Amino acid sequence: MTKGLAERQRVFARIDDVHCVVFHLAVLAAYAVAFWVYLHPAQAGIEGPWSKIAFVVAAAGLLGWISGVDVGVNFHNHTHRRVFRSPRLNRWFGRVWTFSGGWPSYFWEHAHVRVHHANVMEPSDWTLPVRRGDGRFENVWRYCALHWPWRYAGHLWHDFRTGRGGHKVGRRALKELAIFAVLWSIPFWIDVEMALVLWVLPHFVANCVTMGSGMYVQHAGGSPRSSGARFQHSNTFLSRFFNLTMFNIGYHLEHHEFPGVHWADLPALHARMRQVYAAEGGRVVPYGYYKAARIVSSVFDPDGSYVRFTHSDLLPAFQRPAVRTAAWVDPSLEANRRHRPAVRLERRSG
Amino acid sequence: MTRNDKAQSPAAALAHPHPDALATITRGLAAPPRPLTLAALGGRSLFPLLALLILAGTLLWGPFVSLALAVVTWNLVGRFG
Repeated sequence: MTKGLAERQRVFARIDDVHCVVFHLAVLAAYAVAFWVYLHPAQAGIEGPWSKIAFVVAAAGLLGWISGVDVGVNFHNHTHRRVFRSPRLNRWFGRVWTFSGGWPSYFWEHAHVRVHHANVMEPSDWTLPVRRGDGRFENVWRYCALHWPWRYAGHLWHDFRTGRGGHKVGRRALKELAIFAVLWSIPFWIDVEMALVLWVLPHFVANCVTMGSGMYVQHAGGSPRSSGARFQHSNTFLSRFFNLTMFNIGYHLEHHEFPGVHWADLPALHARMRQVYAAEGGRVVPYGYYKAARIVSSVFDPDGSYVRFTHSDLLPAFQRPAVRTAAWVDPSLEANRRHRPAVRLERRSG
Repeated sequence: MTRNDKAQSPAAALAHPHPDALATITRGLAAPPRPLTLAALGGRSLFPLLALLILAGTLLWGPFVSLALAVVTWNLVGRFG
């Protein structure tokens, strides 16, 4: 076992990164199985239009969900810390990593690293929702419907034409787009109808639902560093189940402050920084993105649910006056928050 | 707390955001390598493996059960995740 571990570490930058590769291979296997079932309907009991629709809805939802995580979380880790030691392997595995999420790897890395991380919450960070006059994010449904691919395409086109991101960025983007087009078209060579419902549709779910809502809750309620609030640009999510299954992406404030820290070390970094963030108004909630997205996507009470997520649900130790004084907070909801029992911190701490 | 301890605390390092000072925050953070276990691999890749199981299981239980399992999974994860 020790010898095997050492051998794997010659390939991987760090042994924990084996998880990233296993995750991606499982996603590709899920696509392969879905394609096979779709092309052999009789063997799966798919005999009419309704059973076909049932399978497509289930498969598109599941594939979209895991593809969104695979790009938005798993490949995301790779953009900050490469998982392999070989540069060529990193480049090519990256290309094969994101095509199953509807992205050329270079485009996603540009949007994430050079736009989002370098300008988090500032007006130049076009990856995030548009902010209203009072500082709130636009409605999550509007963001998810309009951002991918429409706004992304416009901003990427502008960035690559104007050279944002470095010398010859446009030429590199064109080359990567061509490689992506070859890889992404593979399901269309097999069966066009299958590609539309089990490839294009899941990519819509991955980007508009999974990654869109994830981006939204990671930063909703925050303020850019330029506002003077140093640690309020991102939200941290402490659900253990969520962080176990999502590569510790819940530690998002820590990740933005120290993007070079490996995902496996983020819980330790949180423990080290917890007191500093509590003193400086860091924003921490006890659950994960899934529950947060469910809260902010409330159709019947969008404003109340936004306030609940961005203010009322913050762990008591992280509720600071600077956070509470936002002009749009409903005073009656603030009164409710102050009367909540402060038990969650003790239960979750450590 | 000694003078040296203060210099290496996160608060002190952030008060003086020089790269060397910030490096003190993350120093010694990396956990020692652990052997990979099936449980750990399954836990980290729980969602794609679950999706794979549900999709492959369509061959056994049919598309309507797969749809029901997908809906139940989304609701559970949305509630607890």
